[in-house]
Amino acid sequence: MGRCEAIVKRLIIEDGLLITDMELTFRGQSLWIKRVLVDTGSGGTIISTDLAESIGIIAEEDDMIYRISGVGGSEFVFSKTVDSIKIGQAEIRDFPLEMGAMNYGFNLDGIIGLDFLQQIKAIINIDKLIIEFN
Amino acid sequence: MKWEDVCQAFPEQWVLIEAVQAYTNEESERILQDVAPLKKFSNSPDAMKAYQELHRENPNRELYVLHTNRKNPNIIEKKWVGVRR
Repeated sequence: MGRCEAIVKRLIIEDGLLITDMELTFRGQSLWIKRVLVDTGSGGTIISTDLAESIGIIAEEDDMIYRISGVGGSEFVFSKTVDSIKIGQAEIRDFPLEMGAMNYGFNLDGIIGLDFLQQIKAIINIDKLIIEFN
Repeated sequence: MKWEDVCQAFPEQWVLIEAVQAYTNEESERILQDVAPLKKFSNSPDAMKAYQELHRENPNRELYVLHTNRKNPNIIEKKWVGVRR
């Protein structure tokens, strides 16, 4: 393997959605998040409040609050900087993650948005169903 | 009610509120003009659970969970295209 070899993470298409998984670390605790939508139409990266709570991520007084408005209506989320988010071998440290109800009528644990994809310099290859990170 | 009035009525609490009248200004800040407090809580996970239930039944209502120590709600609006089949 050459040093410049791209790191690759597999994707799957389920119910017409592009899905992968990721690992989240917050204050030293890690959580594997199984069903994560890869969504270039989402500015932010989000996980459900229920999952977040399981590793102690809860809303605090001075968290950033966002109103996310889109096709399906609007919802509110709070945001916290987590230790790291990892997709395969690609890791971003000190990343601002949003927590929300995620009542979309889909079985999703989280969404990887454009902010994360941009930071890891992702190349999404739909034909091969992989994300490459350079 | 104004947000300041909610803070005065429910000091040092988490509250589930509904924005009855609100707009987004040029700086993408959501300005809550008229707020209805729905329920108060001693901790945020309980408040979030109540929010989730209400949001599931009424996705069109504009709801927030905020702590009344926040002088200004300071809510920033972001766009999302959304998940559709």
